[in-house]
Amino acid sequence: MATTTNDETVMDQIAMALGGGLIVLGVVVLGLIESLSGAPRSPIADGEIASGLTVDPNIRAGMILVGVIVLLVYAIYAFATQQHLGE
Amino acid sequence: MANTEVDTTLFGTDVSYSIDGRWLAYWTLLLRLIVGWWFLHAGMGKLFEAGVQYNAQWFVTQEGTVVSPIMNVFADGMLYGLVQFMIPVGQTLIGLGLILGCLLRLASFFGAFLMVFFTTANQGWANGMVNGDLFGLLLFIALIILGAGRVWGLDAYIERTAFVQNNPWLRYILG
Repeated sequence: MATTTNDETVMDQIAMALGGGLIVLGVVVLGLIESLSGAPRSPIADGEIASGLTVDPNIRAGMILVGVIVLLVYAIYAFATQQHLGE
Repeated sequence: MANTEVDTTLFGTDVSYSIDGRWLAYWTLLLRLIVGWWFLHAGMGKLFEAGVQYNAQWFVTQEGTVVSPIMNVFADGMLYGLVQFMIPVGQTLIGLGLILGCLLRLASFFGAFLMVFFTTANQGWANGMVNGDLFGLLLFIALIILGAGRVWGLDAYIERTAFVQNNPWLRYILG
């Protein structure tokens, strides 16, 4: 049984790179930078943004949000142009 | 036994590998059922507790988060009533959709929609930003990509009907 998908378009690549890229940047890359720079484990302390952070966690949350929006816009585009219907 | 070949390209680079289709199907089903129960339980609990008058003030009035400008619009009036209705009913329907494997992609889309707000606004970041809310978001997207309703789900049968065959765009909300 084979699953062959070879019609990768530029729009696929933009959505995957930008959408997933922003999510990985916001969660993993900036998380690593925070850890290496000695930031506290929890970015929130007593309901407030903890001190000692390099990046505001809301900016990281914003990256996740924009990444998901990119994937959503791609999904709407794929829906509108009837792409990948066999998958 | 690896009996399923994935043969595709990722950013122009060939990606080909073999996986065990049986375990893929099995785990896809397991994910679907557990995520489905998570939402069905959450939705029913709210419905039994407060009907369609769920108290979402704590959530929609939050300030200082990236989604606050959107949420605050829904903090009163008819729009707040919509939130009070949609959170318990929506969670229940999403959970049912996942457990039955019916309209799986539509249900998972709305699940992901809710999780975007939960993961960016709840700020349950006691152990860092990777928490249950973020995993919920990732799981709903995974279920969409996997077409999880096709594993012992109603979508497997619905997709074979003449109606869906004649309207293939419906696979975007089934699957």
